[in-house]
Amino acid sequence: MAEQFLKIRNANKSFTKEGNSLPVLNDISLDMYTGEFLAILGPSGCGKSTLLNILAGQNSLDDGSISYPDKPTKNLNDRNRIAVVWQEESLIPWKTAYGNIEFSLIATQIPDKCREEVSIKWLHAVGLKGFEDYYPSQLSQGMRKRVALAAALSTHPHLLLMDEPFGALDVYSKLQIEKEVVRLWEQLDTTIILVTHDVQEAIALSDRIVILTQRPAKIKSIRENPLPRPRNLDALYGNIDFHNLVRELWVELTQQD
Amino acid sequence: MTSWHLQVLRWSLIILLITIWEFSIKYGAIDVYYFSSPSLIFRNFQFWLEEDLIFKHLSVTLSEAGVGFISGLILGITLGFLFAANPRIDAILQPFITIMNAMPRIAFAPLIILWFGFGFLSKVVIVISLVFFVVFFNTYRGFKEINPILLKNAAVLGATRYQILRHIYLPATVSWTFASLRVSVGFAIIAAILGEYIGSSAGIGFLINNAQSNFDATGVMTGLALLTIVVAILDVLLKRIESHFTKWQVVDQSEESKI
Repeated sequence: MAEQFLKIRNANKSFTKEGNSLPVLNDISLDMYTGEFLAILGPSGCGKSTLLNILAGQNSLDDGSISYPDKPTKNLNDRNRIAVVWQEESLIPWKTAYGNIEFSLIATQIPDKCREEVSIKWLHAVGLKGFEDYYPSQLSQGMRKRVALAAALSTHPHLLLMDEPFGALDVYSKLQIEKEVVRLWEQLDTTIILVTHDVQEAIALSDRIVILTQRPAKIKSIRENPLPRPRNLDALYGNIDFHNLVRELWVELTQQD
Repeated sequence: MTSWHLQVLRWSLIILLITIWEFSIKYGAIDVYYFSSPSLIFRNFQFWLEEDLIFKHLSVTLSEAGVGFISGLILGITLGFLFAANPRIDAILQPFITIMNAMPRIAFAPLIILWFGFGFLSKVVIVISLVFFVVFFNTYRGFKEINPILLKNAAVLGATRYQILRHIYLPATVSWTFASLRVSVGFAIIAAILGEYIGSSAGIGFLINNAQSNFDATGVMTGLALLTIVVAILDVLLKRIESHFTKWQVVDQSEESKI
């Protein structure tokens, strides 16, 4: 794999609640490579989202470090454009599908003259041609996720973080948007971290899978994903290797030490 | 049922009630001295028009309500924004605002007349005292109910403070304010009329009060009918404005056109 993108070393984090310290991340060390699709798999409430918030710059580590070896500047925001597809609804309700994508371009300080073209391009890329003027309340949940995905990708992020992005969708919508993610990512050089508790999703989408323990999260194991690229998700769900891998990881995830 | 059918039925109901009223008076079922009658009200209305009373008094009431409403709106939006954005001011003053809102401010109207006189100013102050709180609480609520994920997402993407203010805080707040517009305009009219009842020399409230002290039920009813018509027209206009500013919300104006 290519050059190193992200280096996490001995990351520790705990929250203080009513005077008690609640450890969340326990000595996490992890390397990521440029253009990689990494899945972080862990049980619910293990601290995955905390890790994601820290990577997004919305929270800080107690000790340990996060560095981007490629770009040795100090300020995290200077080095990398980061975008997030959140678990929760994150569209601005009073902006249309188009307006939401445009806003992410405004927020990333992308110059005015290319905003319209880029917004339209990404709305089409996620299969929402003709829905430019729809408000989030007029779209289905799956469509709203597509808009959120388009808004995140339109900023051409170096790092895309996804926090259990499709957990609330029905199985069919989920598969459709997962296919979209795989297709778009295969065309881009974006590095993606997908945080999830869904074993199938982690395997279907990623290159590598990091399995975390219960809280406080430690790295239990890191698995290379042997499934070939490019991937056809429709075919994948009928594939025996895929199901063997799901079973293996499922056992590993649920095993208590 | 189409909206056209609905309209016909509604108007028929109104005409029916007016006819029953008129005939009950005519055949002595109810006392004209207390209840007046549609034809008397209509004649009185013509008389007021001829004497140029309507325009004169209506413009007084509407300008009291209008000036008070605009001032209350500006004051409410500004302070609502200020309180919501400054946790410290909020923490200190919020209980006072809540108590002031809980007080029946209408009961203060006589005191306001005492302080600001029988003229225009006192009515404006009464209007402000009612409108301000509606706008203030809605603005405040709009600000506080912003989904924190929107702010977080904007921050991750690298939005500046100005961009967050302009694209998130401002529209969120303004849409709540506009959603309360109909309520606050209604309050403004009520407050102006009330002020005129208590002490004034002009305005629809003055006309009604004057008729009442002359035991003139027709005069009172004419004033009420006039107010009803004015408020109904205002309400239609405001509904348009409101639906323009809240068209992104789940229940939008298309609800009515769908029927």
